Formats: sequence, structure tokens, C-alpha cells
Amino acid sequence: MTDDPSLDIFVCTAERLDPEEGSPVSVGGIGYQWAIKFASSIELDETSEQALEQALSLRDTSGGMVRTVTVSEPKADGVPLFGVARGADAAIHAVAEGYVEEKLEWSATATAVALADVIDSYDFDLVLTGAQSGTRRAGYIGHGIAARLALPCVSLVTDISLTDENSLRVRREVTGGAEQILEVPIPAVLTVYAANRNPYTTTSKIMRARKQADEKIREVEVDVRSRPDEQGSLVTPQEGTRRTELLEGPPEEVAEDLVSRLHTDEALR
Amino acid sequence: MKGIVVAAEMWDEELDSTFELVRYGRRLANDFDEPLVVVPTGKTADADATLSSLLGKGVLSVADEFVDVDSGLLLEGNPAVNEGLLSRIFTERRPRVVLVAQTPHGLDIAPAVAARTDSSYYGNCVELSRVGSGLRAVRAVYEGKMHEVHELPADRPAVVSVQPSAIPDPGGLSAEAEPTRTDPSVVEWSVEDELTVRVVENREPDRTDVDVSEAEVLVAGGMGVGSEDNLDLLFELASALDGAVACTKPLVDLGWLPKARQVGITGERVEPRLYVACGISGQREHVDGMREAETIVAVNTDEQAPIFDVADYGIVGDLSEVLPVFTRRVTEEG
Repeated sequence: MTDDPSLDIFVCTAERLDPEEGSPVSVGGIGYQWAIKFASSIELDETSEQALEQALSLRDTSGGMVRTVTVSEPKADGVPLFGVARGADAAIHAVAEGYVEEKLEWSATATAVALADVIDSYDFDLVLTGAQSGTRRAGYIGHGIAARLALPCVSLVTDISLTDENSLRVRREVTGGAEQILEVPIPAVLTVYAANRNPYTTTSKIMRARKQADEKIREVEVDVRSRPDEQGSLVTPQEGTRRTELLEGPPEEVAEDLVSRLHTDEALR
Repeated sequence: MKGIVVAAEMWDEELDSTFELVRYGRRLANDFDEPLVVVPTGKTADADATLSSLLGKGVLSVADEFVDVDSGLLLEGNPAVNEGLLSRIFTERRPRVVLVAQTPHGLDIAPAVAARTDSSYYGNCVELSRVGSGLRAVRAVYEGKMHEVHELPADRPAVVSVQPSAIPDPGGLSAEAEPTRTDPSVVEWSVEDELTVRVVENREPDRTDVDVSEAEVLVAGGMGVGSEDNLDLLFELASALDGAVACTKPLVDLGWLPKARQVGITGERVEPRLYVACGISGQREHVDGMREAETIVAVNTDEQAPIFDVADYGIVGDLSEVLPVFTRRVTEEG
């Protein structure tokens, strides 16, 4: 932990992945214009992006610095670049060697350990991660980092403020639509679930970040090979029991049809 | 290593997902011929009353063991207390599996317990079954577009979080059933010296305006509503249907509607007679809170939106064209 009252924050960022959209975006080793185009189109995983926004907002009010750290395959350097373009002071690209060539299965536990070990090599006050990725919805990474670093962890955080040099006040979601206000000692790990939305990253910011890449983005190698108990097989799920009946036609006819059906189903009384 | 442990979550009241998970745990325990241990977790302002209610609903009748924790432990719903409690039970008992519902509380403690105890973790599961001497877990990944199938090793304990809406009703939980054990064990655990996270305040959503969990008809809006002004279309339809307006989390984050109207994992879980989803894509966060509605109508411009996987009737079209006509038709009927 640093001694001054400002916050040195690590944010774990990841790209939004979709099995129908192919592999992570790479902006390294390709033409400059293409780099701009691809980096402009990068989407961070939703809660990962919210974590970054919370970190930037906290830095802007409390002082300090924001570093992003991303585990990905060697060529997928778009996320670190995106973080710098969005306003991070520095980025660490934790390169998972062999990820593609050896067709390694991604491991949540190994990724958490790798992130924790990278973070632990710096002075820091706070680690933010997304609450859960759209990919797996497991919500493990933040807790895995906290366990590795023996730090407290609070999840589903929606607001963060610095109360004094030793503690934070956080708001978080709990079951049933309720909220909880907690006091959390620093250093800590928080998994973020909401943030104010910022404007899109502009092309000029991407261009500036690209020019600063050598200075601001550092590469390290990590190993994220999965344990046998983490290895599973992907299958396409069977269709659900409920099948949507699409009502088509002019709005008047569709409305009449729908009302009739809802009466039949006793959904309208 | 044997036994099934169920985290019976309470949040000042008994949750339907808790009873569903206990029943599910009973079925798994029967499949393995191993004991079912139920551990209360979460938050209870009146611990004795809530625990009595839990027992009165028949939890004790299907559990082989009920861990009666010190009632004061769960008073504030401190995440560190819950995590520590379940981690301790996990470490001492070394069960085959700990089942946790994938609620916000479950998302808090399940990965935490797995990480702190260096156990296997399978989040967002939609199916569990015995295969040979081990457990087969099916996880929903990529927003449910794919399933990931795991064969859990028999010699490694695991923490599993289960989507409440995915749990089939195996029946068998009845207050009339004979308890298999009438002397539940008591866990005594002091946490005063260990706590680093302090609860300052618990805030309930303000339901004075509306309680969407009680509404028989809900007209819900998502990001596809497009603008705050377009919410008027939803309120007009809700009025014609004698219902209420609900929404997804992003609309609350934008400040367009209050938290009390949010439906989803971190909002209200609703089961209305009719649910009209307007401009809602169908993300898991929202769908898990409304899929039990009797009849679901979805209106969306994107024919591929996942909401059409759960709706009974779908209309592919612009809200500003569809809703006024639907509202007028309902009003004429009325």
C-alpha cells in the first residue's frame, strides 16, 4: 500500500467475447489505419468496462493513478491500448504464451493467480475487476485475486468513495433489490457492477494511445493453463420449452391478434 | 469426503430460491446416498423468527442436518461473515459439493468460498446430476448461447452456484414430512476480531411508489426504449392493462426509473400473469427475474434478441409504432 492519501488502482480488464464473433481483436503487427479501426471497435466486457470507469472517476476525485492489467493471447493487444485511450495512466498486457498454439483451456483460477502476482509486484491501494463476465457469469476473478493476496473482497459494487487514507465507503447490490453500504479497509479488491457511462473512446484518443504504447504498455508473460477439474466441453444447449410465436402484419392486425390470444390465455381479464 | 451442503439464503425473509435449492440438494443427496446439510446464510434482522419460519416450511424435514448458526452472526448480512461461515463449514466437513443459488448473495459467497478454500468452482450451473461416482455439472456460458459440461472429480470438493430459474421442482419438501434429524448442530463462531469489512447501512428499495413483485401485469422497458420520453408509451399501456411499469438494470443506472422497478437478478424477481417486455434484449440478468411470468410478450426490433427465446408471443417492430396501437386496442376492449 502506498503512503499518500491518493489511490493507486489496478483495474483488471477483459474483452467482451462472443462465440459467434470469433477470437479477440488484435491491433498489433497490422497496419496503422487498421489498428485504429480495430481498437475503435473493441468492446470491453460490460462489468470490466464499468470497473475501468469507476477507477478513472475515483482517480479524478482522489488523485493517484490507474493501471489496467489484461490477460490475453499474445496478439490481442487491443484491450490494453483501449484502456490507455480511455484514460488509464499505464497498462500491463499479461501475455498467456501458448494460449493459441497449444490450444490451452482458459483457467479462471490460474488467471486470478496470474493477475494477483502481476499486481503484487507493484505498490497499490485498490484492485477493481468486473463483477462477472458475460462469457461465464462466474464472478470468480476478483475473489481469486483477493484470496491470493489475502485481501478483503466486496462484490457487486456500484459506487466507491475514499473516506480517509485507510478506508473506502462502497455501495453494493444485494438480494431482493436492496443495497448495502460498507466500510472497507485499504488495500482491498472490489468487483464492480455499475458505473456512469462515459462517452465513446474517440479515434483521436486511440491514435494518441497508439503513439504512447511503448511508453505506457508493458508486457509480461503469464501461465494460465487450466487444472483438470476446470476443463469442460462446450455444447450447444437444447432449445427451451417455451417457443415464441411471432405475430406479423400491420400493427392494427397484430394488436387485434395479440389481444385475442391474451384473452384466450386468460392473460387479459 | 461426502455430503451435500446447501447454503439456505435468507434476506430478511425466506426466498423461493432457497426452498428450491434445498429440494434440489435433497435429490442429489438421495442420488449419492449421502447426508444433506443445510446452512442458513444471508441476512436476518430477526434471526430466531426467520429460522423458525425456515424450519416451519419443512427445511428440517428434508435435511439430515441443519447448522443452527449463532443468530447474531447474520444480523447485518456482512459479506465477510457469510464467506467465513461457509468457508469454515466447508473446511471442517469437506462435503462433495456446496450448493449456492446464483443470486447476488450467491455471487458474493460462492466464488469467495471456493477461492479461500482452494476448491473447484462451477458458477452459473443449470443442471447437476450424478454420473458414476462423480457429479456432472452443466454451466450456461456466453449468455446461455452455449453450455459447458464438466465431470467433477469425486475426490475434490466443489462449490457450485445454480441458477434459481433452472432448478427443476423435484418435490418432496413438506412441513408434514417427518424430520430425519431433530437435534440440529450449532455452530458457535466469534467473528469480532476477524472482521475487516464493516456494514454501515442496509437500504431496502423504496416501494412506496410501486411494488412490482405484487403486480399482476407488468410492462417492462429496456435500453431499446431509446429515450426517457418513450417511457410514456409504457406507462400508457400499463395504465390500460391496469398494471405497473418495470425495467431492466441499465434504465435504473441511467436514472430513468427508480431501483424499486428493476426486475432481474439484482432487482425484483416477479411472476405476474402478463409480462410485456419492451425493447428488452433478454440478458440473463433480467430474464432470471421474470421468466416465471405466466405469459410473456416481447416487442423488439431485433428478431435475434434472446428475449424471443423466453417469450410466448413476439412482435418484431418499433415500440413507437406497436405500443400505441396495442394500448388503443386494449382500451377499446376495456
